[in-house]
Parts: sequence; C-alpha cells; structure tokens
Amino acid sequence: MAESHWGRQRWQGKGVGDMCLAVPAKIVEKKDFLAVVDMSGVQRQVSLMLLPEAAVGDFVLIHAGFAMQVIEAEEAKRTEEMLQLMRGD
Amino acid sequence: MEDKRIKMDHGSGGQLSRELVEEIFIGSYGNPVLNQLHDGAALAMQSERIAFTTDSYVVKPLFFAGGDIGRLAVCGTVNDLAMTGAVPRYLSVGMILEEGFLLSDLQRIAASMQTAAAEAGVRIVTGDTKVVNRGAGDGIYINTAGVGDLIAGTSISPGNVKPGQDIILSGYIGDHATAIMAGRHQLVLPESIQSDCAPLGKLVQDMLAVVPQVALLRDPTRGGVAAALNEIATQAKAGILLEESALPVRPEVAAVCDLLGFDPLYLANEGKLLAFVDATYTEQLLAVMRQDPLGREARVIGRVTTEAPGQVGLRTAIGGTRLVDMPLGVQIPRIC
Amino acid sequence: MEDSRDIANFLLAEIERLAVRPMRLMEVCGTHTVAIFRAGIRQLLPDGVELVSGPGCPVCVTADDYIDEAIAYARQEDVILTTFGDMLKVPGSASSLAQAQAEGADIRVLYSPLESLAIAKENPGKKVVFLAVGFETTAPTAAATVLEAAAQQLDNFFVLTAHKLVPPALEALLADPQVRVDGFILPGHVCAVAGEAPYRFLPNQYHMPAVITGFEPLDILQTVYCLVRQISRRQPVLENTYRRVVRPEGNPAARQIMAEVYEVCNAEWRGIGELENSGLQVRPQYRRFDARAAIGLTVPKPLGNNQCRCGEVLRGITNPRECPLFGKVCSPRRPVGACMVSVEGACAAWYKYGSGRYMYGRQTN
Repeated sequence: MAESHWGRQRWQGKGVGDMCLAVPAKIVEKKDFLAVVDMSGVQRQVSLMLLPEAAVGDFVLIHAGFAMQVIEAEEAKRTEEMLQLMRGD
Repeated sequence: MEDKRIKMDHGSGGQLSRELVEEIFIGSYGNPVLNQLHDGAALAMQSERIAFTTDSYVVKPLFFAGGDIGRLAVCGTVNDLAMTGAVPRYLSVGMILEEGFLLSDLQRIAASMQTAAAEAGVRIVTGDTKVVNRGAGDGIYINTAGVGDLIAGTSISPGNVKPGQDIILSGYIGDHATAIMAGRHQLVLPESIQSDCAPLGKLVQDMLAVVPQVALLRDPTRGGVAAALNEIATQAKAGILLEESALPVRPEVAAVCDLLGFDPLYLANEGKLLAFVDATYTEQLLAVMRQDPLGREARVIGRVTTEAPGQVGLRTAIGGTRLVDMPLGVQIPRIC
Repeated sequence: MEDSRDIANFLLAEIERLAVRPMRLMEVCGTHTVAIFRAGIRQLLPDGVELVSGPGCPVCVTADDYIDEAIAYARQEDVILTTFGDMLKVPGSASSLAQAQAEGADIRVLYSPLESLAIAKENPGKKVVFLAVGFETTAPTAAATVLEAAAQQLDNFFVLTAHKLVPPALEALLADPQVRVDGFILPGHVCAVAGEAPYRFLPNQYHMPAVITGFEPLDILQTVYCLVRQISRRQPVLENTYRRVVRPEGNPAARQIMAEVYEVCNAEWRGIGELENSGLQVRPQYRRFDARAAIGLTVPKPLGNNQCRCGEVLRGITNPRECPLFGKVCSPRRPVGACMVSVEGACAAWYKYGSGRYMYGRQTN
C-alpha cells in the first residue's frame, strides 16, 4: 500500500536531507529565458528572466511563474549539523 | 437528426423533442421502463425502507480527465444513496440545455451516463428535458434523483458517531478537484491525475455485508474531507482528530496544492468515502475494502475523541495540532 | 520520518531548556504565520516563548485607498483587472474587488503576472491592469513582466503598483516604543532575492537576534532554537537556516531587473503610516506601463477609519483576539480589515486555525 505522501512530502522520507522544500521544481527543458519545470509530474512553463544561469537538471524555487533561486542539494548539511548537535559534538 | 445543435424546438414537447429523446437518451441508456416514455416510472422496490436523494450538476469544464458531467451526474447520486446505506436502483435525469449546445456533446454525455449506470447497476427510468434561450444557461445543467433499497440490519446515521470510533478514508484525496483544474494557470497535469469519479454502491454493499456495524458513511465531495468531517462533528456533537501523516495524497496533487496554495483536505472528491466504525471492527473493514479497486488504498486517517466536541483537529507531522475549520467558500490561488 | 520527529523533539527540548525568561519572537512574513499555524508549532513551544506576527503580509499592509483605486480601474469598461487571488476580498472603504466582480467588473485571478500579457494580446481593445503588490520576492516578477511587455511592444498592459520593502518596516517597528520584540524570524523568500546584507542592521545596529528562515516546520523550529540560543548567550547575530535557498548575496539578477523598472519611493503602510523609502514605483523610462501615468484615474480619498486594530496587530502589539472586532463583527466572511482577508493575515490565520478560540482542544483563552 502506498504510503501517505502528504505527510511524507513535508519531510521527504529519510529526514530533512533531501529537498525539504514542499515542491522541488526540476528544470526538464530550457530554451533561452523559458524553462519547463516538473513537480512530481506536474509541469509548467516558467520564466528564467530572474535566474538566467539555471540549467536543465537544477531544482529551483518557483514563485508566481518565475524561477527565483537554485535549491542546493547539499541540504544534507543541515541534517549533519542537527545530528551533530544532538550527539553533543 | 440533421441539426447539429440544440434548438428551442427540442424542448417544446413536440416532434423534435421526441426525436431527441429517442435518438440520444433512449439510444444511450434506454431500458424497458424508460422506453415506455410514460409520464412517470412504475417501479417495484425490494425493500420496504428506501432511500431517496437528488443532486444537480453544473461542473465546468464538461469533459475532464477521468470523466464528464454525465458520469458525475450518475455517480454523484448513486453515491449519495450508497452513503445512506442503500443499494442504488433507479435514477431520474432532468436536463436543461442551452440553445446552441452541440448534439455531439450531448451524445457523448448520454453515452457516458449509460456506462456509469451500468457500472453502478442502476437504471435511468424517467427524465425530462428543457431548452432555454442562448445566454440563459451554461451549455447543460443536469439534475439526477435516485432511489435505492436500504440494506437491512444496518444503521447509518450521524447520531451513531461516538468516541472510540476510527475514521477510515477509502483512498487518495484531491484527484477530482485537481483534474478539473487542468489547463488553468497553465499547469500541465500528468495522466496520473484523473477525476476519481466512480460509483461506490458495490463497495458499500460489501462493507456492510461484512461489518453491518458501520456507524456512518459520508462521501467528501464539495468542500472535501474538511467540510464533510466538520458537518459530522457538528451534527454528532463529537470531536475528531486526524493524523496528517496518514492522509493519502498523490505527489502530483500535493504539487498542485503547494503551487497554488490549496489544502487537499478542502478539495472535492467524487469516488471516495469516509467510514466511521468502532475500532474493534477496523481491521475487518479495511480488509474487505482493500479487495475492491475503489478501496485499495483505504486506511485509518483519524478517530473520534472525547475532547473538543464539534471541532475537527489535525495532529501535524511534527506533533503539533491545528484546527481544520469549515471552508468558507471556493479556494483561490494565492501569492507568496 | 523518524529522523524528523527526533530532530523536532531535540529542538523543542533545547528550546525549553534555554528559554529561561519570557521572550517574544516576531515572524515578519505572512507565509510564516500560516506555516506556523499549519504545523501546530505554538502548542509545542513552552509558554514563555511567544510568537507574534509582523507586517510581512503584503495584503494586510495595503492601505484602503489602494483597494479603492483598484476598484475604480476595474469598473472602467475598457479595463481588465488582473490580480493575485489574495486581493479579491480585501475591503476598501466601501466595496471590494470581489463585490465589483459580482457587479460585472472584468477581474481575473492569476497565478503569474505573465498571464496578464497573454490576456493583453488576446484583448487588443482593452487595457489590462495588473495589481502589482508584494515585497521583494514578488516585485521582481512584476518588473520582469514589464520588461517582457516592453520586449513584445505591448501598448495595453499596465501595472498599478503598491510594492513594499521589508527592512524599513522593521526599522519603524524598532523605533516604536510600544513594540517589544526580542528576535526576528526573517522571511526566507524575500531574502532569497535580497540576500543577507539588508538585514545585518538588526544585530549590528539594534542588537537584535535575527534568523533567515524557510517554511517547513523544521525550518521554523530550528530558527526558534537559534533565536532562543542567541538570546540566552546575549550574542545577537544574523543567522540563516534556509541556506539551501538563501545565498548571502541573494539573487543579483532579480535585483537588477527590479532596479531597472522600479525606483524606491515613500509608501503608506496600513496601521504604521507613511514610511520613507519603503515602496517601489515605476521609473520614468517605463511610465508608459504605469497605470497611474498612462490612464490616471482620480479616486477620492476614503474618509475616516474604523475600529479595526489591524495596525497594532501588524506591529505585534496586539494579539488578534484582543481586537474588539475579532470574531464578532470581523470574520473571514465579513472582514473589516485586511488582516482578516488574506490567507496569511494574522487575524485570518488565528481565526481559521484557532477558530477564534486559538487552538484545537483548548477552551476560550
């Protein structure tokens, strides 16, 4: 039985390591300043006017139809920090 | 019929009306009772106690992924009968058509109604068609009313809701509302998002055959699970507590919700049900539900509590709680 | 999932341990107000740690006369008004956009301002006026839309601006003796554009702890922990728990586009008053896209005010429940003030998630 995604997607399963953001939008196509992003299968065209350097394969934060910033995959950093804190390092 | 579109004459009761009924309605979902085209349908019910319901359908767009207004009109009323604990039997269909409505669309809708009726094991036995001037309607409005035989040995009512009961949801929420939204705001939805519009009569019969002690059934249509549970909490003067981590939402639906700022608890479903049952019967009930394709993803999403009567709460994934209020109106996309 | 619960429990335990005296933390951004309620965070925090909402909901700080202005434009026969959904139910001095829409005005809700351009092209005989509200996250999207309109040589697209900037509002709050705040939860998406620099004045000038924060429940919990830790150490700094999105330098390309189209101006903040250099208006070279310059309707100023205490709520002085109108005269169904309308408005959030009774399961506070 499939697990509940709604609760899960807030945490992306294995802890805050991966894309904690509720909707990671992955760029699957890019042409000049237009990109198509994919969010769990839902697609939309977004503008790259505010983020021209973004590349296919990047996960981006989108807002009002624009890509605003690339989301760093190394959020594993935060989990590490937190786990260190918890261990008392 | 040579005419491609509905004309005022089609609603006048004359020859054109007759042709319309015979070619499209009888042609699609005819049966010995309907075919008599009598003023009313004379029927025999199997149970002394029956259920009776009605609903009107004005959905836009008319055709969407996983269904159309016709399918909705049949399943919606079938499901209301099922939620009262009845076996759905007969439907009436009242249509209000706008002058200029495409006959090919009407044909499609009627065919879809037949498919749904056959799936649901019901017959459309009587109907009515009116035509309004161009501009006075919105293409097509459909009203369906239905009767069914109440299943003996069961008692389905908000009055039966009590603390100690589990609340079971039959599957993923938000699919229908999201499918309707396709094309809006330039979202391209994957094929995996389809309206869940489906008749629940058989699932309910199977459930009640194994667990006749089910206290209440409700289908979360307009206003979603939130509206349905708030109504129940108020009617039953009971408290309800849901578990956020138990709510079944497809990733695609969750993505649309996050994008547009919607909450899946408030989105309409057309092929799902909520069941309240004493916790001692939960496992049994889940087992029978999961054998039906329409109940494959059934799970417990919450319970009836002694605290906070009349309120619906949600325990969040980090252990906090929040209130799930009654929706005010339609959800609209928001900024930030 | 277990990891997350563990982390949450650890953070809560630490917060409990470190918060030895009462403190009030202000979440500036409306989206945080909603996120905090949705996650049910308040119940989990110790009593001494109070979270209050600030002026970060763009709809809430929008003055009455902007709505009146928008309605006036919408009522023009040849105007199609485009807007984000939030603005629809905000009450102006006499009416609202929703009401104007019901009365026949052509008002369209969109998700992206770019949708306005398609509408403009499809309706060459009409003027499409977009309600350009929002802070530093949204302003660049409006600015980019203006540039795109220029590139497509559209002559029937206009913006009616009411953008605001966050730092001046924070300064005004800190200068107000009625406002008592011990730390700030800073808006993550605003900072994604603006970067860290505009907020360094908080610890540097005002010795105020501040943490740039994301919108997941753990982001917020981690921030509360950081603030409580800063306060206990008496070492205010600017921290960032949203590093996966907020770079120290923000998004320079977005700021450049904002600066190309907009210039800073004074702005009227509901409940706070006029703040210098706290808003954005269209630069002279793009005036042809400025509705006020190109169409220029005169709209009578609204008179008087009401008993709504939106202003105090926005500054964190008053809890929504303390406003005499809250839940009685003023509710999401019949909002008196903007705070009750916007999904992110403090009052609406309190009403929706606390149903006027603050929390699930607790009796009237």
